[in-house]
Amino acid sequence: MEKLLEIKDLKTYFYTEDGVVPAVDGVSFYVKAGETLGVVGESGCGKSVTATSVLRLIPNPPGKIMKESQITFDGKDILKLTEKEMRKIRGNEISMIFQEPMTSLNPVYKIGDQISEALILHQRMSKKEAWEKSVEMLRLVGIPMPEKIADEYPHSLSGGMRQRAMIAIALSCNPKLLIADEPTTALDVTVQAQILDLMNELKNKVNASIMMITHNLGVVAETCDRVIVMYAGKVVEEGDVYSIFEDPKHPYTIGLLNSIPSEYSRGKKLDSIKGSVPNPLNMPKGCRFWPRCNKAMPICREKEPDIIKLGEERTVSCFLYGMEGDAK
Amino acid sequence: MFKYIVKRILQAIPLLFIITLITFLIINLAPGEPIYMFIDPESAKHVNIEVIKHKYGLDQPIHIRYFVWLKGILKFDFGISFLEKRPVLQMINQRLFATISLMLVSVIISFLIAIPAGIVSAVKRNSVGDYLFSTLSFIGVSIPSFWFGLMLILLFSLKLGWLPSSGMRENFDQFDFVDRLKHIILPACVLAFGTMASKMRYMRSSMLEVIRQDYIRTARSKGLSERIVIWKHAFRNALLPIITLLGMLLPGIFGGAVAVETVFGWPGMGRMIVQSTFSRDYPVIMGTELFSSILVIIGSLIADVLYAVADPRIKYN
Repeated sequence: MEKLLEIKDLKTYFYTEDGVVPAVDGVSFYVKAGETLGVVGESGCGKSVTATSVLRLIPNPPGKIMKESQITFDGKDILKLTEKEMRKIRGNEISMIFQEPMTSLNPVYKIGDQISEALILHQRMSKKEAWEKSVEMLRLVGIPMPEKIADEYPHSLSGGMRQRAMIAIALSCNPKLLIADEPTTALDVTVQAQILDLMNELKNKVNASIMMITHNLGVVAETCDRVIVMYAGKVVEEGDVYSIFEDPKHPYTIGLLNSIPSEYSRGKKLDSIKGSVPNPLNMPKGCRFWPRCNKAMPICREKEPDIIKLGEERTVSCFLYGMEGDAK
Repeated sequence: MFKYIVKRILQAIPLLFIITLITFLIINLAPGEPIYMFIDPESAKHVNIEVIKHKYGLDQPIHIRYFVWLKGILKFDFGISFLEKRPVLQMINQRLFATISLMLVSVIISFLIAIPAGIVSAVKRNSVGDYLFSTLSFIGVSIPSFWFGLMLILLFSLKLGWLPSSGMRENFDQFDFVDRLKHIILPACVLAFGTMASKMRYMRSSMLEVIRQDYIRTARSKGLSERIVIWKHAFRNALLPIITLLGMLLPGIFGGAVAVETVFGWPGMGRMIVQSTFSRDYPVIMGTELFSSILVIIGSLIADVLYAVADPRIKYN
């Protein structure tokens, strides 16, 4: 499968009054056409900043995508496009769903108008055509009485319904890539599964790729083909979803997996990764994970580990691997 | 909505009653009596004063006088001015239009300038424009309107001779729009300038609040241009708190109109309020007070109704 989106050495820094925050610091990965890539990590690891960087929606100032970064989407060098060319991509070829359905829709415009807007802009539809298509989109995302709901304002919809409406907006122009930034985090557990099922189903229908940003490994297991694990602005491990769950390599990934309850942990105290995410203004020298790592070695404090290729589409960034004799 | 408006109007009745009661008490507590305006204190005899007092009903105790006035109001009889010997209602009627038009034009001017200025300040935060508008608005709140008015008269009427210095019109034969416009522009601008500052600051902070919202990011992620994101998606949301402000600002504008009308010789109610207060012309004071209260109440009712129109989340029952 061809690579739809390829990110190389993405660096997004924020210039704050307290200093430079390297929210994303040299991230490289790709999304293939038709696949779902999971981007996993704790809060503050740079997942959302990576996603917003792809759409070039980083508020500038204070944010800045550094010169050496490269984002290629569908053969286009995204970071070299003009703002006008970029607007033709947003909502049309790449669209995004956000974490907070309660606040992601504009409270003073009707749902139908908010879906129509993208259609009128990108597909050059008339107002009437766009409205009809909006109703059709609402029906597609499983909203009952779509004609009536299109005419409603966001406040009369529940969180799950609003997220469905957001998905309708995102998919209305048949994007090639859908970026979903924690689309189920703010929803009730019962609604979460429905939304994930819906996204899986629609992805196949419109043949889009999905970049699924989440901190919920259950979501990853359910929806993703491949996974990248991020920690403190860097990718620490990459692989297909089975390898990541069956044979995690990086101590951070192992820690993450151990901290979800499973059959084996029944009755036992749940593991957790000790410590907390480092302050981005004061990153530890060497590997960024070593202060919390239970396998830390002296070299981890000195040097940053390289990205080591373990196999086809399988990488890890840790000194435990790839050294002579392979210290496993 | 209709029910809500009726309810608000009914609620206004006790409010107006309390306002008139307090006003009546306060003006009667103020030293000085109206009769000293039309007698010569040197030559007047005690008997004469009592006769005049009786003639105007001023020899009655205060509560009786209040109820006499209130009874008149219920029959739309606002009494007769002590000073001008004319019915108060007729006097107000002649001047109400002048005041309302001055207030309306100044509100329109101040919103037309304050809203775009506030938005530009918020969107281009910490830019030269932002600092310029901030400085202007601080000057606006700091300058006393009567002094600012005099300076404008000095510049535009005396030095440049572009605009008339006082009055509402020169052409008394027919309605001459250009003539009216020339007369209203200076007083309306002075009145607007003072209230513009707070509106601009409110608009700026409201806009700053809105452009950080998630739905603005959603709008951008749809590929909409910055112009549409700001002027369609952000603008309408940022405007909501400003509509409430409109209702709250009306009493201030009315108060400001008193000074501005005096400076510009504007034949409105403001000047009448000043004159009647100095001469203790009780019926005129009470009448103008009642009318200005009604204006303010209507203004805030309009603001509330507009709020419901602009924000679909607001439903009045």
